[in-house]
Amino acid sequence: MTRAPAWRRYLRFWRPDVAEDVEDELRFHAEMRMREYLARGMSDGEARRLAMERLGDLDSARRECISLGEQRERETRRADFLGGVRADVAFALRSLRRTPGWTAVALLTIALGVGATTAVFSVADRLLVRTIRYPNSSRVFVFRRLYQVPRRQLSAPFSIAAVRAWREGARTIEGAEPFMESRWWMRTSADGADSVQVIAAQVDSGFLDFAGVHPLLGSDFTRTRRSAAAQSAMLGASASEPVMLSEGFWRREFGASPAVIGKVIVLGGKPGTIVGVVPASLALPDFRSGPPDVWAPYAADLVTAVAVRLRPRVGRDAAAQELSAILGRSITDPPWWRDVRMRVGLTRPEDLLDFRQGLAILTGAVALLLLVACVNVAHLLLARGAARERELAVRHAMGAGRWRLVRQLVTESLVLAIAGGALAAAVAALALRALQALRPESLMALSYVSPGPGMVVLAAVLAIAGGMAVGLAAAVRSARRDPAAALRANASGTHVAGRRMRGSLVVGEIALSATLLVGALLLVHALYDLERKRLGFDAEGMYSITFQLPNGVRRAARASFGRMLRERARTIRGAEQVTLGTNDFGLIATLASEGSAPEPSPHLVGMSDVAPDYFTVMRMPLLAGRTFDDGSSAQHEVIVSSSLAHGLWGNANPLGRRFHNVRQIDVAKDWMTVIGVVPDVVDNLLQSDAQPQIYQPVEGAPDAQELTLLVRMRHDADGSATALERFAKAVNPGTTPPTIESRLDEIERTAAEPRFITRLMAAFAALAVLLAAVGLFGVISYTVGQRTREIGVRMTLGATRASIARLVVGEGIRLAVLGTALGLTAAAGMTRVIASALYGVSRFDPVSFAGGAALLLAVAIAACVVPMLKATAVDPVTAVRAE
Amino acid sequence: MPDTNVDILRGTLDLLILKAASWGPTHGYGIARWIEQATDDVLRVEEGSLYPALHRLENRGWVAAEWGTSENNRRARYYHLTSKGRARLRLEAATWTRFATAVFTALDAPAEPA
Repeated sequence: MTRAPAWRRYLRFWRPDVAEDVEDELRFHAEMRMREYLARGMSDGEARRLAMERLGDLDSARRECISLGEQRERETRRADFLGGVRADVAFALRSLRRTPGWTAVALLTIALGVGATTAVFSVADRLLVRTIRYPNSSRVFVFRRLYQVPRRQLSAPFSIAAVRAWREGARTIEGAEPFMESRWWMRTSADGADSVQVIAAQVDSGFLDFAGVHPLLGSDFTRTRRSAAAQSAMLGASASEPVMLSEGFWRREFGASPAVIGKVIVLGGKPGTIVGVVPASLALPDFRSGPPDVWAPYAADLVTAVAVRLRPRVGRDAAAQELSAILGRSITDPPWWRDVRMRVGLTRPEDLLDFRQGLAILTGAVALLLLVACVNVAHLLLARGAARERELAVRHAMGAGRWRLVRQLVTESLVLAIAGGALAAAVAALALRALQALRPESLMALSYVSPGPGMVVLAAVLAIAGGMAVGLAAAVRSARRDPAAALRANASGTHVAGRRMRGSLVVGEIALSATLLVGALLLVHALYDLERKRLGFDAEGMYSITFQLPNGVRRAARASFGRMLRERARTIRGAEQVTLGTNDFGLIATLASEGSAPEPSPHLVGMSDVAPDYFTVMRMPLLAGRTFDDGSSAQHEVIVSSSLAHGLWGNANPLGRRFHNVRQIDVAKDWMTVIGVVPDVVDNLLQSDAQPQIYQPVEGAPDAQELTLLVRMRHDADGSATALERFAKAVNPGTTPPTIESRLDEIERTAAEPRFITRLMAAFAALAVLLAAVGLFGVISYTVGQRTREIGVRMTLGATRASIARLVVGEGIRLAVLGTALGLTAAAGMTRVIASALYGVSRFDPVSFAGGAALLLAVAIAACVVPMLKATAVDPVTAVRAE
Repeated sequence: MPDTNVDILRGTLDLLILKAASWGPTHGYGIARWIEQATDDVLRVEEGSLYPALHRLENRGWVAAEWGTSENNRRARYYHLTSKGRARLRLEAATWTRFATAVFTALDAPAEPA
């Protein structure tokens, strides 16, 4: 046995060397034995031999000791670590409890910032990222064909023969499934009277395979369709369509009963047989309206949207090209489409969502908010660090290692982050609930976003990452400080660097919130303008009830039904005036005035059939001419909107002029004579210009399947909706329930998405401004605290309280002005993103910019009030003597 | 001399170590010597198993060890009894005494089994 060099022992300072220790211990034992034997008079060699003999199986003893020693070492280290963590956490909790106000502000900042972010992110995740869950969904596109008329894009349907041709001949795709979505009435039993409105998806038999889904119960309609058709043909019964229910609808309406298979229902007026139930996860590629309730076979001959799956490694453009070439070969479009520009293309399913842009705006806004919250937390931690500099310096001087102190500070941030994250998860769940409550009707899909565990994890990760980063930055900064200097320093005039850093953080915070505020104000301004748009008629109290007439109703019967409706509608409680009309429809027309060349290109013209008193009831003043009389229908007399008149005849008098549609389509071909002009009517608040409109007498309308009763209810009428509903039910001629709508609601609904975005933006901006105000308040109070002595000296030297107030508020305003200026500059650049959501308001709108600046400065001054009062209340004698 | 020595029974070593360490901090050699002397050299410690036993007791928290300097000015590992070890010693001593008494009683029994 050779002696280990003495320096070996010093290694223990870093870390115990278990093997060496065991060796040392055993060697010591052998040496002692040897000394014992030598003392008994043995020779050197014999003593050594006997000592080694007594030790016996040295190797196994050594091995065992080493392994035991290492085990002990591990346990000690772990216990040390856990003990340290426990102590740190306990210490952190104690020190956070000592400053309840600070802790509350910090927790609230994290909870609100991270909570709002998490809620919006989880919505964005659901609606923008995880949209459909088909197999290989990255290769799934939707084929659409649109015709483009000025300011509008309309779907241009084509024959289903094209889809068959694709399936046979297209090499770039491996599947093509047409789909359509309708709102239908459904009776859950063939003889039952109660109908429910359902979202019905119509798909081909291959759709389930395309979507990679199997029925939960029963079967797909692939096989059953044929057998059902064969069966009904045999029985001579009317064909019953096979129908599948979605899981949700099945649970809701049928209590998840397996006995629904084979049940006969009535869907959209036609009999159907339930053949299967599909999982709730099955959705159409166009998921705007959420999961359908029922799935029916694709019965139409025309398609507007087809889901296709590209073959691997096929580009979108190549596929679009091939599909449109086959489309061109396999179908013939009606001749009147030749003068319309068509656009064909493959769209990603998530791009079908109009709300995408709105959601992108919200995501950006909430990211800014998160940034403000992070800066605020950083700022709060810095303030705390500064306040505790002396405490840390003392602890350092008393032997706490720097990194021990850093660990302490990081633990504190982590404790804060975890608590804040837990709160944030709660806030996020509440925020999501609020989002869903406010959601526009067009955004059904939003109600299917749920706060899952993923969301909570996201909140925690955001909070902890933020906390770690900020805590570490603050801690490193504290650790770098020279403790001696910190101890020596008296309270005033020291932390210039710290103050400057905090000052710039506050400036950043104010700048971020100014950007957000200006964005929100721009949207508010746009919404304000939208909601005050002149509608061209009085929508207040206007209701429409649309009746579906039974098949085969003739003009005479329709007229007498109309007369009956008018008569009886007068008896509705609260009804003031009633009139009749049919629903509008849009016609792509190229109009020509008598004696002039036709218009250069086709555009969309609204056509509606109305009763003579329609304009009186709608409170649309006749700008010129008269309304319809008994001969109007025979004479093809029409009333036009002012934009149509202006488009055809400029400022010339349109009365008595004749015009017609020259496009090759059998509508409005006859010469129409203008007998009156009415104002343009707005029915969609987002449309920047009014659609030209032609009104024809309702008596002359061709056989239409529906008739609309328009009722103006008195302003003070309570329960209008129920009264109208009762009336509609009583007079309904067919089996399909009538639809009742408030015109005001209908119009306001068109601005639902901007309203939703604007509300959220306003909330985020308010939150950001609040956080910035808290930050500014913190800095100014801190400065006042630091400068108490200086203020005392100034006062002794004759400074008035007013000049002290100016000093304090002046600093706040300086920071606020700087931040606001930066923020407005950034906003000028960033509002490009929301330009298309502004509906005509300039993105440099001075009202919003000036308003934002004024609001922020006002808030900044308010944030300075308390510190200012504190400063002016300084007693010079105490302040100067205090140090 | 080897003929009169008895190897320490399994399980008894722990008890003897605890007893040896109860007199105050001592190193492994001291413990071995104490056992030999206290039993008039009748019991002889298997030194190869003494140290593993000591380390095991340490891991169980019955003895604690620290490095010190020996009587010949050499670095040595000193063991002392912890309070947990003291309780253990009392327990094991009582158990051992009961066991030994039972064995003695059996050996002294005058008659063949009834």
